[in-house]
Amino acid sequence: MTGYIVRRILWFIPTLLAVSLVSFAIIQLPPGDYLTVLESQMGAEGDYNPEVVARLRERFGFDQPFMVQYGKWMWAMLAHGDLGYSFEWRVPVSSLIGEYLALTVIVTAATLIATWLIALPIGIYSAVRPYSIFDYIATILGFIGKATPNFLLALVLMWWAFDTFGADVSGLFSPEYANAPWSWAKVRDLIAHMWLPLIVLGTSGAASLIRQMRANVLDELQKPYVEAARAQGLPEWKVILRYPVRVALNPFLSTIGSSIPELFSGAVTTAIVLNLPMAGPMLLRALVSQDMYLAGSFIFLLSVFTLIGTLISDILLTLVDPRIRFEES
Amino acid sequence: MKDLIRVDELSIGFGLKNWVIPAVEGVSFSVKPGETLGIVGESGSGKSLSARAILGLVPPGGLITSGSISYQPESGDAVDITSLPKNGRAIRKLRGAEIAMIFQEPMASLSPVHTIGNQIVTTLRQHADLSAAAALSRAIELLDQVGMASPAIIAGQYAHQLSGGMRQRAMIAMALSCSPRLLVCDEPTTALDATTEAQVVELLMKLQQDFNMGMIFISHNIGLVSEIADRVMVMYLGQSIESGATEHVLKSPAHPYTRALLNALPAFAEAGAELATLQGAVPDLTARPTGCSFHPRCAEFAGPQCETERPAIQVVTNQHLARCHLHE
Repeated sequence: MTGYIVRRILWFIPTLLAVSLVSFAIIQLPPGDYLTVLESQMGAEGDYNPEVVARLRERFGFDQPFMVQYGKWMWAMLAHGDLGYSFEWRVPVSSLIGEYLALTVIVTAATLIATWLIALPIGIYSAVRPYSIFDYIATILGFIGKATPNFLLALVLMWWAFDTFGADVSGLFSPEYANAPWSWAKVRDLIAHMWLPLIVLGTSGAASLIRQMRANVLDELQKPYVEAARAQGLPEWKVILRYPVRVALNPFLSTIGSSIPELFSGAVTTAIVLNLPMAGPMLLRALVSQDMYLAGSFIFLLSVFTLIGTLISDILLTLVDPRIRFEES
Repeated sequence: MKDLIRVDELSIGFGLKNWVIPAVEGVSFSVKPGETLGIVGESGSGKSLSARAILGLVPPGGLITSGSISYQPESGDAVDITSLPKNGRAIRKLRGAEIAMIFQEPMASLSPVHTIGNQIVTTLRQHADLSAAAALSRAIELLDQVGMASPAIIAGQYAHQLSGGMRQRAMIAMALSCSPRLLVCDEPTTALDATTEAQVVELLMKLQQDFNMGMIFISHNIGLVSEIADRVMVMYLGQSIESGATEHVLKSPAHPYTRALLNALPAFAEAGAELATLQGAVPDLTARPTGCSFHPRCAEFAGPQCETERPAIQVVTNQHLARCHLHE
C-alpha cells in the first residue's frame, strides 16, 4: 500500500503541471490583461499615461509569449515558493491567500462535519422506519432545504438575526478582531460567527445526504446478510449499525475528494452575501479584474487540495471496504 | 422423547388487515432431538417462510394469522414463539444460541466487510460471556471442526476471498458456534456445485450426530432430502400435502404431486426412457385454484370434488398423511 501511495503522489506532478498549464491558459483567454483594466481605470480618472503602462507591461513581462510567462511563473513557484504578485492588491500572492485559504478550509470542513453528523443519523432512521411520520417530515424538510437557494436562506437568516437580536451577523469576525492577530479571543469570535455560514452552507448538502443515505441503507437492509445477522440473535440496533449502515457509508467516503472543489466554488454566492473572507469571492474578483497570478494560484492550490482529497478518499475506502484492494503490479 | 419444536396449524399471510394473501396455510410439523425433517417444495410453496417463522423472522408485511410454534427448552416450560415480541429479548436469546439457521446464498448472507472470524466472534460474544481472545480461538476451533484446512488464516479472511463451499462451511461454523439444539437449513446447498453439495451435506449429517441436534432441511430437491431426512413433508402452495417417514413417502407416495416429483427424478426413471415432467407451473398465490390447489396440474383426477372442495388431511397409514381426495 505504501508503494501505491508513493506512486499516486508521484502522479500528482504531471497532473498538477497539466492543470496549472490549462488554468494559466484559461485565465489569459479573455482579451486584454490586468493593464487593460488599469488603463480604463486611469482613463476614467483622467490621469492616463501610456508611458507608465508600457513600462509596467515590460516589467510584468506581459509582452512576452504565453509559454515564457507560464515558465517564469512555474519556475518562481517551484524554486522560491513565489506565487507571483497580485496587481490589484499590490502585495505578493503568497502573503495574501494564506489566511483566506485557511478560513475556507476551516469553514468548509466544519460544514462538512456538521452536515454528516446531522444528515447521516436522520438518513439511517428514515431508512429503518420508511414511510413513517418522521420519514415524511425529514423528506419534506430535505426537499425544501435542497430547493432553497443558499443566498436566499442567507438573506432571510441575516434579516431574522438582525430583527431578533439587533446584531449584524455577517462576516466571520467582529470588526475589532477582523484585522487583529490570532488569539484565543479571535478563535472564540470566529466560532460565534460560524453558525450562520454553517446553517446556510450545510442545509442543501444535508438535504441530499439524507436522501442518499436513506436510499443506500434501504438497499442494504434488503440484503440477506442483514437477516443472517438477525438470525444470530443480535439486537436490532446492532444489526443495523454493524452491517447495512457500515456498508452504506462506503460510497460517501469516495465523494470526499470530489466534494472539495464543490464546497470551494459552491460557497461563492453565500460568501459574497454573508461577506465571508473566503477563497471563493476572492477568486471571482481576481478573475474579473484579470489579476492573473492570484487567480492562477487559487486554481492551482484548489487542484492540489482536490488531488489530496481524492487520495484520502481512496485510502479510506480501502481501509473500510476489504473488497477494494490496490493493484499489486 | 419430547418434541424439540412443534408447529401447529401455522398460517402466515401477506397484506393488510382485511385483505390477506395466505402464503402458509395450516402447516403442522415437529422435530425431535437428533431427528431430521426434510421440507420439499417448489418456489413459493411456503417452505422457507415456515422455517423462518421458527426463528421469528417473518419478513416485513407478513404476519402469522393463526397457529402456534412451541419450542421446548432444555429445562422449563415450552415457549410459544409466535407470542414473543418481534426482535425482542426473548426471541433473540433463542436465535443463534438454541435455534440456528443456515441460509441459501452464503456469499450474500455473510457480511461483505467483516472477516469470517469477526462474524463468528460477534455471535459467540452475543450469547456467551467470552473475552475477545477466547472467542477468537473458539472461532478457529469451529472453523477447524467444519473441515477448513487452515482455520486461523480463514478466520482473518473475507467472504469474497473464499470459494462457495468454504463460505457455506463458514456459515455452518457460525450457526454451530453456540451449540444450537435445532438447526434450520434453508436450501443450504442450492448455490453449490454437485461435488461441494455432497461434501456439505455429509458435514451437516456428521455434525448433527455429534451434537445430537434436531435439523430441518429445506430443499426443492426431493432426491437430496430423501438421503438425509428421517421424515419428509412435501409442500405445495402454502399447504403441507404429504408427510411421513422418508421410506414410506418415497416407496409409496400418497399424493399425485409427490408421485410426479419422484417420477421426474432421473434415479427413478427407467434407463433410456424419456424423463417425466410435471405439467404446468406453480400458480400465483393471488390466483389460487378452487378446490384442491393442485388440481389443474394433477394427472390423477379423483372426481368433481377436486375442483370444488378443499381436500382435508387424510391418514394413509400410521404417521403417513396426505391432503388428497383419493384417500377419502
